[in-house]
Amino acid sequence: MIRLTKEARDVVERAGKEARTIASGSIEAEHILLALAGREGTAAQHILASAGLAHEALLAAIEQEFEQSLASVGVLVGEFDLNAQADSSKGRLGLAASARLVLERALAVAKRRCDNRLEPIHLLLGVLDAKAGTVPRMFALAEVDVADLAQRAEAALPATG
Amino acid sequence: MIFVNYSCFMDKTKPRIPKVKDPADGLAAVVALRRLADRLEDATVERAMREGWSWPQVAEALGVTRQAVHKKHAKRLIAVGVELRRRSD
Repeated sequence: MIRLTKEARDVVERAGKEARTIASGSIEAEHILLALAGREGTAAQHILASAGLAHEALLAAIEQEFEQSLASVGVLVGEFDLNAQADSSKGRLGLAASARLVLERALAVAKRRCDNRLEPIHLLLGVLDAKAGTVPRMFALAEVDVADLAQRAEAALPATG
Repeated sequence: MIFVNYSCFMDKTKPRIPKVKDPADGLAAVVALRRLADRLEDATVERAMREGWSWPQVAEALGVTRQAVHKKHAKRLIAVGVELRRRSD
């Protein structure tokens, strides 16, 4: 039985808020990443910050990937008025497929190591392992060394037991 | 009889539609276009309601049912303080 630690639960909850703030209808892998960067006092947050990936930088990288992907089909975001008020209503958002995969991969890491607690660092490994979609694309655009980040995250996993 | 060569009135420059070569770019564009449509819908429905449109008008313009548009936007608009018109207004 693997339990989410308080910090990991905070991250998932915070991911919902991140999704809402940037007007997404569900929680995606990138929102978990934003939440990891925003949860102070965790190894995951520390590793991201030391790679220059603080919360603000990640937000910018997500927007950059969005604009770049649209530009590839000739759409310029600057020509649209997208200024809706951020949603502050209380209802919970569901996990999109990309976020479910993050959780599955984080769990797989914990299982492999026989960890009985799932921490934010497991979630970070789950995010870094994304093969396709917004997250790897934004990392590529921001020239992030994902392999190096993953290595440091592995090293920061709790002692096995 | 008058013959009109319509091509004289057309823009001679062909529209440049970029060809997406890499499937990864194409798939990412699909995701981004969906997201753009969602964001544009949020922003525009909000603006319409602030300008006094009714739910049935917005629904008809979007080509969806009144229930659908209400379900999708009412909570957020109320939360951000948009004054919504009642059906009888």
